[in-house]
Amino acid sequence: MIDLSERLHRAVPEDQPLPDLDRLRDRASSRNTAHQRFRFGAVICAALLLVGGTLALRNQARHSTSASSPAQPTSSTDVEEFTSSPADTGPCYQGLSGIVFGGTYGDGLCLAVAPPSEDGTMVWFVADGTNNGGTRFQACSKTPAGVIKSIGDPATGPSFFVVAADVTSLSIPLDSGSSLTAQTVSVAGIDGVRFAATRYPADASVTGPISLNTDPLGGTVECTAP
Amino acid sequence: VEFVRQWSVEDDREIQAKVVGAAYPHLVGALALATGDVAVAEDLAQEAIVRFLSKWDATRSLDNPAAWLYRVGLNLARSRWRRAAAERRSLTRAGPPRESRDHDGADAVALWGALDTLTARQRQAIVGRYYLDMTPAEIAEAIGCRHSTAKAHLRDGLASLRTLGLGTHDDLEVPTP
Repeated sequence: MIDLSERLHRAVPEDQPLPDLDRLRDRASSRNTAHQRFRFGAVICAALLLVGGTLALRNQARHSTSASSPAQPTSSTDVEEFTSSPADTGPCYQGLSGIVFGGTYGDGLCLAVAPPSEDGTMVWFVADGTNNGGTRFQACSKTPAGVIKSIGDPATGPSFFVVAADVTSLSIPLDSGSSLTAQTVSVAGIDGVRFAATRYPADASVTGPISLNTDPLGGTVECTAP
Repeated sequence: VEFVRQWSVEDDREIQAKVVGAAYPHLVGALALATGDVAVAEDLAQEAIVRFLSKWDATRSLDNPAAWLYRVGLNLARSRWRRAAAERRSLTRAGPPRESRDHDGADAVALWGALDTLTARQRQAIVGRYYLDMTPAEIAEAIGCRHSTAKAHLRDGLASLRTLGLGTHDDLEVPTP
């Protein structure tokens, strides 16, 4: 008796010509773009609803308290603007999603995070669509306190930083006398380190040591990986 | 922290070409056997490949891409059949045009005829097991049922095929309690 498996293989042509992979990639790419547009539209709609609802509630509360409370003078406070901060998660590089940086000095920078595997989680450092290399992190990877691992040119070009888990931002002094602040971000599944990314003004350069702003509570995160 | 070699666009493209090149012929074959039509199977296979590529961040780490593609192909087939009830009736009752699936003479004709006697789930399970070498667990995931149900589909499908003179050596032939 001929084996069923053999009969099945004989019953269909197995010398199928391969489809044009580039054409299929184009279809996949255009589909992703359409999905992203739909998602973007949905996010905008949700944001508009949220903002509208918040304004309506605030307006309502103001009207209800204005009769009983005398008007208070408003005081302006200085708000520190992060020049480079994580803007969103989303598509980053070559089908990988990740953490996208925003703001004037974060635009075009992202961390592409590969799906975790037994060997750890691969994080790629991407600037303007160019991959500047990657590092594999374990869940408990650590960078010693006060030490910065940088990728790129930390003086002038787009730069990525890997710092200890308690570091919330980096202050980078410039020769103009001002400084850049790069907010750090954590990557899911990597408990021991945080990441930052920034680029520099075209006519500026780093003039001194980069200082790390820490939050003691950030360092108490226990690595729960086996 | 150790930095590794730079990632390049070619790496992904090479991996994709390798995976698709290995999986595509068998994917078309499996979907042809499951749906009864080679031309439909080619459409389904290409659409499954497009979805595979569009979800590359997730599919790149699959242990068994062929099983994933087969599952997606079957889902697409079900959607297609739902959309076109008339086409579905023609597929299940009359079968597809003979010329679209005759491949290897009388033996293949007999096999296609035998497959037509199976239910859709039995047929999909048999193809997954004996054409794609999938495990019962993978078959269960592909056709959307429990593991025990997948084994029952395999057992019943094999029993039907055996009455038509088709058989195989497989411990799944032995009814499990």
